[in-house]
Amino acid sequence: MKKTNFYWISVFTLLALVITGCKKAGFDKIATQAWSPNLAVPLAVGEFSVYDILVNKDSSILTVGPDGAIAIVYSDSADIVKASDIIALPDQNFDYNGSMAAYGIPPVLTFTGTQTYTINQTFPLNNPSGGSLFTIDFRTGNLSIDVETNLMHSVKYDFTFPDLKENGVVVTRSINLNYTGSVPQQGNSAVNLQNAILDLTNGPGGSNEVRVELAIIIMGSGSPITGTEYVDFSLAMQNLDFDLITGNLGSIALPSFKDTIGLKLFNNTSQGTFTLSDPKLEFRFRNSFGIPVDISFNSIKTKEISSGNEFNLTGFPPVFSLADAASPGQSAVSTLTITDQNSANLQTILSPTPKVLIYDIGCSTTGLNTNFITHDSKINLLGTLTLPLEGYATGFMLRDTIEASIDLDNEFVESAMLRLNIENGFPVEASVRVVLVDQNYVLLKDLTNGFKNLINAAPVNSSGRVTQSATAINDFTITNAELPIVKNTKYILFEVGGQTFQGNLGTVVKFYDDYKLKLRLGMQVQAKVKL
Amino acid sequence: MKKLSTQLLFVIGLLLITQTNAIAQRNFGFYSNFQNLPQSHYYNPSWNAKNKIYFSIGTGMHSFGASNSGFALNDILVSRAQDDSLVIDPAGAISKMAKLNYLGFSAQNELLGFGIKLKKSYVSFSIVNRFDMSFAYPKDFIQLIFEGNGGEFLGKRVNMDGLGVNMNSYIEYGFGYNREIGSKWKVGARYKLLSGIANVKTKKSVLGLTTDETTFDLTIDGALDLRTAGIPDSNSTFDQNGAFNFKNRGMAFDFGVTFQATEKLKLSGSLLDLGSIKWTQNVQNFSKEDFSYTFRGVDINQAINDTNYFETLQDTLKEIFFVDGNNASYRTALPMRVIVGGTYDINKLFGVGATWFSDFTNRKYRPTVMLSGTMHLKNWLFVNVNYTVSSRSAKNIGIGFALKGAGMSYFVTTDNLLGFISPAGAKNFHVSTGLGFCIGRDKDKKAGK
Repeated sequence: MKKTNFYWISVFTLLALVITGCKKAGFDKIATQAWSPNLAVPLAVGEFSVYDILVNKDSSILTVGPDGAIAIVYSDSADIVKASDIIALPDQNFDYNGSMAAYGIPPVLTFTGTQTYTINQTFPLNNPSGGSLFTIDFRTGNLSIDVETNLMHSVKYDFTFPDLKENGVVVTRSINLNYTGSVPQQGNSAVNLQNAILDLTNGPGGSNEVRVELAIIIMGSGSPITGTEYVDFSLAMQNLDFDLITGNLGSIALPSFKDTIGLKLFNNTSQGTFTLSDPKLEFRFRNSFGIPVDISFNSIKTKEISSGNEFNLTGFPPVFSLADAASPGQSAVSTLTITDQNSANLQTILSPTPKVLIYDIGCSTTGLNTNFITHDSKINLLGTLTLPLEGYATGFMLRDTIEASIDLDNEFVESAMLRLNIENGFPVEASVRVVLVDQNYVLLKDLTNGFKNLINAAPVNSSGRVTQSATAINDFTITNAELPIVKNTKYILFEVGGQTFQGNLGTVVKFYDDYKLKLRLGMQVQAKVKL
Repeated sequence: MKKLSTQLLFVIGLLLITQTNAIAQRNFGFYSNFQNLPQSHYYNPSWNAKNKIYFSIGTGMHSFGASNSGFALNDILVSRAQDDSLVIDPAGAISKMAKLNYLGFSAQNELLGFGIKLKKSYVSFSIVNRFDMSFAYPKDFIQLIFEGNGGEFLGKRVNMDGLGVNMNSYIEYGFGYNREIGSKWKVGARYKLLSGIANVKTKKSVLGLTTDETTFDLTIDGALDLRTAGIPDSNSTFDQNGAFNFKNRGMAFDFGVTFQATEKLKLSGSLLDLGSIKWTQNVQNFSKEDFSYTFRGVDINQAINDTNYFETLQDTLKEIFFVDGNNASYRTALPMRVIVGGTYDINKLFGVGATWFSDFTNRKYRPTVMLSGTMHLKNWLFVNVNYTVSSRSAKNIGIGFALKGAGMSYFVTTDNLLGFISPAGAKNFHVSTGLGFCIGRDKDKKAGK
């Protein structure tokens, strides 16, 4: 009995322990909590060479020297003189009023039979450009021939243009007027001048003259010739254009030409001084006229971004003569290079963060001998400013704005930290201010708390070459309390101030094509999730 | 009762959610407690019932177990200082974990059992459902989930090597035989024909995440060799015929020996589950050679210059993390166990015992030691109390009862009573129970023991 009781007591005790034990677990008392993992992720990585930084930003061209040294080349090309600037062919009109006496036709009461009379005429070419034209090889044009007479007989006009040839053959035209009892009688004909060549040297003046030979054949109708009749003709050359004109074109003053080269390197630079070693300004003229041309620079200047002040280049050669093309279809290249050696202040006018380089050019022909102009003749100018990236800069300031939105939910984010790792292979230091603003540019968050020295310049040796990269880690933190505010971010404003390595001491640095800027952006988020 | 069930489910659920491995431990309490019960031969084939005939249909033995070597519920749920509310304390749980931890669940269900004593021999036959599942979870894996990679793990490798699942489900058809040799020795063996139902084997699992402390670059390294069989995918359903069709065939042996050293001292040992299964049906294997990939963020240069950059990046990631698959058959060894024990009868009422268990799973050795005491309260009533040290837990006190009489034998035993009393503090929970039918007089009863 005693053992039986022990058994049941044991069983009861066990069950009681089990039930009370489970109650002790108290799962219904689990309080709400937050899960707060800390997450770190890389966001972006980039490696930028000077090509990525400069070439992508504008259309400038980088040139690399044999040793890898880099220069920025800004250039602009334009046709400063075209053929139409030198010569134009206006419409030409030649009228001839021929009397009976002029043709040597005597009065008769009744004229029957056939009689031929001739006349030779030379007409001057209207050439407002001046100079002596020798030949014209027409590209387009039309010669209209109109005749009129009040002779009461049938008349045939046989025109010969001995100086105008089509495919090497002298151009002739005939016009028949069949008398039908009424006067005046009229007729016309035309010559397509395309590819025709007109020789203007066979007149008595030796140039600018067009000769015409006319034979008039009168076929008598029995009516009288009173002697007062007329036999007129007129010639009109219209829509003239040429493939080639030769002649002695003389001196022609041409319109001045003004061009601007944008120096986009400094586009975002608001202030600062850049002292670049050995800048070079090159003007390369390609002249396809058969005429020598003199170039005169009215002005060469730069314009500062911040102040708008202009700085004139002085001391450079005032006049530069261009060679002429040896033959049609060819061109002659003449180059003028302006450096600090043949100018007074090229380096100086490029120092104050210039935005544009402006040059104003005047030119005139100096054709004393036989010259030529083709339809496509022109003078092309390629202006090139070469800025070797060598020198030093101080106090420059860049500004830029980018659109952005920041959407970190403050319900789940306790804080967020952006980490920027920089490995700077350029000899340029940078202090940065990064500001978040709303659509009205109202300040929301100054990420850097004013200017922050983001990265030091990579040091250079005595040759100006970087010896080792500079590295830096920069953290930008946004707290939970700031998240609702920065959610309204519309723009991020960047202000970057800096100088080249020891730029304040005048240490010259050189940029090479193997310099790299490595950026790595990561984010660390302290999350907060309610459980 | 409803609340009790809910809480038990919560405990099991929480353990499962936090994940497990290794083949879960058995309820070893049975070994030292009830050597004379008909079901004892499952632990040592040299043992058998004292009755002439034993049989059961569906009730003979059911054993369930769950364990979590990493932490107990009390380690992760702690009382708040200002009131009695509970708060989740991941750091507390993590501090208790080993480098690699296991959460496991096991079940053993006798579907049919039969045994007959022939003079000095005993012959048995059984059909048993065996199920083991475990999930191995590295400490770093849990720490990563709770703390993220941006804190302590900056600059270090999050070591998730070993993360994986192992599962084994099969039906065991056992033919047992034991025999007395002289007056002191008894030996037994059992041949088991196995029909595999499903298997998951994580043969190789290497996974690491390293966050660069300066740039936050993420480096993922790893390798995988995962083999599965009988696991339905989206195009198939679970094939229950695997229990009987022997398409995933295997065999195993159990060996046992008992030595009656003195009248009161008995020594025994057994080697269980020495065998393997070849998996051939519905096999899907996944493998990935050693790889390492570092994500450094979006490459700005490429993103600018290549309009298809993000598609390219996506393709790259797919290629890197692509897992090869095949359907090649494979073989898995059963988790072999070695048990050595001894009992000493102090008197007719009390006996004590000590047992040493060893699991050999996935080339890992996990020992368990148990001390036990048995009371023969009646000829028909046995009570056993035991104390177990296992799975990095020393708080396991077990208890068991066995009833014999009226042609039946019933038992229930657990090796962790505290799992019932205070589930929040327990790392192991095992319970076994069974009801069998006996024909023929119990020799002990006949002898008046």
